[in-house]
Amino acid sequence: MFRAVKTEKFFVFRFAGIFWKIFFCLFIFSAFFLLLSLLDLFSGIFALRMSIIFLALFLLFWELSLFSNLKLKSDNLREIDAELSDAVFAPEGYNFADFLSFEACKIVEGAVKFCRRRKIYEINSTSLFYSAIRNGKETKTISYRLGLNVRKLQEDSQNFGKNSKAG
Amino acid sequence: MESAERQNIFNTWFLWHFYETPKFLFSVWKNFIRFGSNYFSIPLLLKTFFSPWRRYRWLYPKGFDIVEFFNTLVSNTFSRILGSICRAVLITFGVIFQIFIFIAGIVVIIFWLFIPLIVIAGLFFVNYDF
Repeated sequence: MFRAVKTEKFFVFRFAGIFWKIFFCLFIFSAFFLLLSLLDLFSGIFALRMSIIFLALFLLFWELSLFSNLKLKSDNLREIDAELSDAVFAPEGYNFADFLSFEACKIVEGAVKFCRRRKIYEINSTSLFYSAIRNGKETKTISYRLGLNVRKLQEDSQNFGKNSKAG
Repeated sequence: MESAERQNIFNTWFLWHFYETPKFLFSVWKNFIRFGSNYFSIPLLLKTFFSPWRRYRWLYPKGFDIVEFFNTLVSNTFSRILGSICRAVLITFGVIFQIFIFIAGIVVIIFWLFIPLIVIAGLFFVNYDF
């Protein structure tokens, strides 16, 4: 799963979701120009070339986006047969990181980085909370629903993290 | 190490694109066909094709009454004809729906398998001089 987090950070995978939408819109526009070229308003070859290029790029990024969302991000959870309760009772036989979802993995990785940057030698709940607010989409959604100011919450938890290190 | 990881990602993608997703699409296709079959109840409609419409049927007279007998016979026959017409309409809709699902499924699966080829051909097309 950590590999999936790393892969998702890769430029192509990270922006694939935006790119396929952009290229899809461009493809629709270029198809419209292709229709106009039938009325000799545009060069037919140019419009055709643009349509095909945008279609190819749309399909490429759509494929990458699907691969990232459907395979890389959700693969790990499907592969584990064991229950979390089994792992709790026999922790030596399991790697707990295997039970993390993609989102949770991103949060843990963010917390590890935060602690490393601040030279905090223990990944505490504050760093996890800070990372959850910063990197977790669902945490942000819950915070917004609760009417919390996410930015202020981020700053507060960051400051608390710094102070706890100093203390 | 990095190249091995990249290789691994390529293998993962290849397996996902050409095996796992088509398998999933086939299961979705099968579900749609099952849904169509259940929704329009085609097998049941075929089995009960000539059954009376909404089970409207009249009992034949017990004694010898030729007028009442033919009256009941005609009524029952009409009920069966009406039932078969309504069922034929539903079966036709069901069959059209199934044909549509069948063709759409084939198109989607073939399109999915050909996406990499379309992408490569499209990008090759950029450098092609007319």
